[in-house]
Amino acid sequence: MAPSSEIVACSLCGKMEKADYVCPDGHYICEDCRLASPDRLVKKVCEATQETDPTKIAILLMKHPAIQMHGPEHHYLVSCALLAVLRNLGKFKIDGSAFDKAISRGKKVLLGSCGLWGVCGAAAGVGMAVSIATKATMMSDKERSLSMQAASEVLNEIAKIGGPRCCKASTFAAIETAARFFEREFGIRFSSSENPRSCYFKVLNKECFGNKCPYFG
Amino acid sequence: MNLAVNESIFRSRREGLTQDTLRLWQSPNSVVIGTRNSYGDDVNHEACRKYCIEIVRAISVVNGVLYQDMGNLNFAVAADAAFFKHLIEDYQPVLSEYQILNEGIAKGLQMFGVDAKADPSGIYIGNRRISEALPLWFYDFLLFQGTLLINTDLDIYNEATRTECSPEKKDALTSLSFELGKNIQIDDVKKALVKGVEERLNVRFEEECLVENEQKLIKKLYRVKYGLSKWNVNAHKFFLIGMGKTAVEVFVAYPPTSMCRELIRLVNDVVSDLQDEVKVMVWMRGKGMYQHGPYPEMSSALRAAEKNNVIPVIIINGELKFRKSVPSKEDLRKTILNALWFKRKKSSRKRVEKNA
Repeated sequence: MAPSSEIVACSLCGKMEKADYVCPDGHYICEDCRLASPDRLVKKVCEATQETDPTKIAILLMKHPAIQMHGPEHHYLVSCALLAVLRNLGKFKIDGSAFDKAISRGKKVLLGSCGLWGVCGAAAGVGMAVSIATKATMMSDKERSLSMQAASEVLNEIAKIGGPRCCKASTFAAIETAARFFEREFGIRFSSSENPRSCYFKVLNKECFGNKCPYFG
Repeated sequence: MNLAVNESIFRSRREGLTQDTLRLWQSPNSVVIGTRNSYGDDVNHEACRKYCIEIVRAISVVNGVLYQDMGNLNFAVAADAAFFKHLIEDYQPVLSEYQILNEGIAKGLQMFGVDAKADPSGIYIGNRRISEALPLWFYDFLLFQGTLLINTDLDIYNEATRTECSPEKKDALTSLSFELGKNIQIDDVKKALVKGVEERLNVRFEEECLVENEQKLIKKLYRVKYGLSKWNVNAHKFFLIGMGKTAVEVFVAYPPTSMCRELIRLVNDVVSDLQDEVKVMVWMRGKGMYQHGPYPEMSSALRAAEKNNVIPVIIINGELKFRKSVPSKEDLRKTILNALWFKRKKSSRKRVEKNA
């Protein structure tokens, strides 16, 4: 990082401010984003982004120090990244309250729910994104079925990866499966400019299971 | 004071200031309880008053209540656990260290002709326990402090440790003199124990005094921990880093924001003339717990701040003092000096109590 005094845009939320440090690639993170809690960060970034690749949004968020290597913030990170892309593609009407709903619902999924409930929070996050986008409730018909179907397809993919849990691998698998689901069910094609392979986070993960993980190499 | 000596030796060992150490000592009547034991429920206070038994709390990772009198030989081993790995087949972390040390002590007892058997939970003659320990771990460093019953008054042991939760222990305990039917010279046991441990560990011990740092820390530990009812009664955990400096932890964003940088600058400025007594650690969010080396000492308040995204913060001796703002230089200095002064005040009060 190099000291700077230029006015630059925050790489996360887009806010323009006088930078103190800028990285060699020209990236800058505003003071507010540096101090943000995970839920605030996820909401800020997803509200501001124009991105149409959910994996790119997820990786950007997961590189922030507020997002732990493994943690419950991934549960709503997945749903918010998907909702941001759905909004940017213009196929669903997604407003700011959608992110609040996703964060609020995602926070209710326990840390470790994958092992304790048999339901990974990332899979639940995809179900939440479909539910919020289609405005499903427990009284809905097709929307309710689609939400559950999306969650179960993702769950199936995450289960194939094995353990110990990796919130990064689960996030990637959830987004990839959700992309296939949205294309099949709604005809929405996400862009896929960012390839999660090889995983950026593998060196930071003490419990990384290496070649066994589809995102390792 | 003896528990302060053990902790000081342990801290000194884990800081790399000394080598693996075996310490032997005797102490007057006392009941030693583990860190998580209940002061109120796990000791028979009536018996303790009757026999003038002091109740003290050791720092340990297991529960246990030990009775000591001048008939006991107490021991403490402070060592790097890596040393034990080649001393046993089928090494099992934690259990093997206890097993090996108990085997060494049991070897010493066997020199008196008793059939002492060791297992990770203690040393037994038949079904009766003759030795028990309250171990403590810090990463790979072990403090194995325990007691060996030589000429111990088992009736008082039983009475002092018998409570509603813990019934009669008499039939479960034995002493070396009880087994042999005669009083034993503690010095003879000391020699045998050292020999037994030396043989089991395949080492030679050299007799040494405490180093200067250890002596200083003993006084500090007694002043701020073992001499206070806050610790002995309420098990209030005192946060003391390494060799006992006052810890100022600053938790900031990465890269630090202007507020974070201001906070770091202010703390360094305030403690510039207190370097001998204060240690400043700047923790950056997301950089992991090993950003200060392989054996990080991170207070629970800092972990809580990290978990709850309270940033930036200043934590002094494990207590969160300033959050999400930059305090004035005067306020910060006053708070740090208070943390230092608190200990001095406690120390002088103790002396007054003793004189009275």
